[in-house]
Amino acid sequence: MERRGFLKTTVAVGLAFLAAGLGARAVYRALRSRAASNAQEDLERRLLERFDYLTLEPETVERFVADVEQHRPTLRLHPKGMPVEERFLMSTDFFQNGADESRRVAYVGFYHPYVTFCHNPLATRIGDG
Amino acid sequence: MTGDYDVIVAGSGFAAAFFLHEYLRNAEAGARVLVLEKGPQRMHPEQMARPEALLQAGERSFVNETPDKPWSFSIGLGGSSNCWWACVPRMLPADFELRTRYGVGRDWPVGYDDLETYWCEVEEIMQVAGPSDDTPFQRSRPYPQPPHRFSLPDVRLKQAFGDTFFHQPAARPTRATQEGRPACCGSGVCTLCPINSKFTVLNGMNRLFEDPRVRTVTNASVQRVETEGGRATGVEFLRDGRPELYRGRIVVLAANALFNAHILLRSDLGGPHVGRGLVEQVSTTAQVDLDGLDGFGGSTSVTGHGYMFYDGPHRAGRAGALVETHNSPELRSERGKWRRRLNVKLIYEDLPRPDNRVAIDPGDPTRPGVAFHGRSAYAQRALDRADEDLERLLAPLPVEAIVSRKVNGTESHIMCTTPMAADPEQGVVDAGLVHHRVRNLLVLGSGVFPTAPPANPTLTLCALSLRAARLLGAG
Repeated sequence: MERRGFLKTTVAVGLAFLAAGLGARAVYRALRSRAASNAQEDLERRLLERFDYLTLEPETVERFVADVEQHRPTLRLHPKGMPVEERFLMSTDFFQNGADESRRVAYVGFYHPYVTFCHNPLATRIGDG
Repeated sequence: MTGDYDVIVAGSGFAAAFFLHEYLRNAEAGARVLVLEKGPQRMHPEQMARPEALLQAGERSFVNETPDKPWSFSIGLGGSSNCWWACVPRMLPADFELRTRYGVGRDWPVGYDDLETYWCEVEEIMQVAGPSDDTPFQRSRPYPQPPHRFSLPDVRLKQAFGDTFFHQPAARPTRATQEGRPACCGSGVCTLCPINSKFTVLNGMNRLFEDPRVRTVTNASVQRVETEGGRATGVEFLRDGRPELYRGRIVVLAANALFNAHILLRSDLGGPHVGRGLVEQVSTTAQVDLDGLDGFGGSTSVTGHGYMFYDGPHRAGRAGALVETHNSPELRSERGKWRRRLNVKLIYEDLPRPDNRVAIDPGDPTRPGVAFHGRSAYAQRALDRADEDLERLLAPLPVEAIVSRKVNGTESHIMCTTPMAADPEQGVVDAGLVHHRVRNLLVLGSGVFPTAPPANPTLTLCALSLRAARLLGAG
């Protein structure tokens, strides 16, 4: 093979591999995104089933699930961990309202001591009521 | 050997800080102090960026020959003040007189009255929140800050146990401090406080390391005290793996009870007591489901202290215990009963055993080798009846079930490896924490404790360090 032809072939093969790689990465990202989306939908469904006795403000579950996804890397830092259902309740005004199941429940903020500072609805600070 | 320092301090945690606080108050303008800290300097924002690093370096800094028994501490500027939970009870008078009163353990060469004024000073610096009018401790001054709010179960326990149940004194303030520490908001993750509320050396005493008379070198692992003619002349430390030697007129070891003992051993300043008797309290935590009573509602992570099992004739035969009631958020996963949960901890004292020890690791002499072969029979007898103690403690509460009870791996305290004693044959340092044989060498920290009482050691080790510096200045 002449040198020019060899170079053309090498570049072509390289580009083909690159495209394949890029393609593979794109496919991987798409699959991951779909898996994450499925996982989020599963979590939403799980929470709605678990707390079907509560009247939830619109998007309470959706906002929580989105925050779980956003803060997933920090979850391992929460000492002793916390089941996601409990974290959901702690992220709403459920306990601030005395755990009254008859009251509408609204999302307050993602409960994680290292994400949302000083949001522990179970503590009563000096100066609070 | 280089440098010519008035004082060289190994370590930068509680003991070092309170020693330096007193020393610098009276030192001349031209005094030269060298602080050598094994770990790096990581201020609060850096700690928050990598919270998992807080304890990792400590775990790698020694060889644990008996890994079933962990030892937890933080190395770096500020030492274990960076990871503690800020529980600051005093000891009781009886803790200093175990041998005289109960025929067990040893008496300390200091007593409650010797430390009272120093405890007050430490509490002021830490801005401790505690119950001035209702406390198990004889006090000459009120606590600097009012106590935290009891949890809902605490209120019932107080009604039932009256003068043996109290608000826990805590270096987690109820009001913002002048240094800018915000009030504790009860996040319940005190190992690394998200808002930097709990007292640490870095947020409460960092000015010491910024004093123009103080030079601080981090990532410097002190290995040996150099001596000549029975006097300390300086220290050898490793920096980037290379040894360096600095001269000093006074040497102070404040590097925690593992490293202090290790340094003495490497300095040929061993003896029958150095590194022997390594001990800490043993505790058990119970998770309790309550019937119709909500838990929580307190204003900080640990809200109550129970003294119903602490002191009394029983200590002649088994360990006394301090009770903690916890307010950290741990829900009960049942509809309608989410908050009906209480965690309590019983912290039993232990007595030193000579086979529990710190040595020079044969594979890596730059690190201590630590072996713990078990708690004393004295502590075990008490632990064996923890269920009875628990039943008595919980009797005033509507208990649905005790869900679990486990013995904890560590209390994150390390004690008794360089004990103090009036008799040089019985200890390593005297009542002023001066080494019996090398009279310009001080050894600080909870390693000097002759016994391991139920009370958390930090407040007392700080008071002892403050006192040691004052006695040094006076004499």
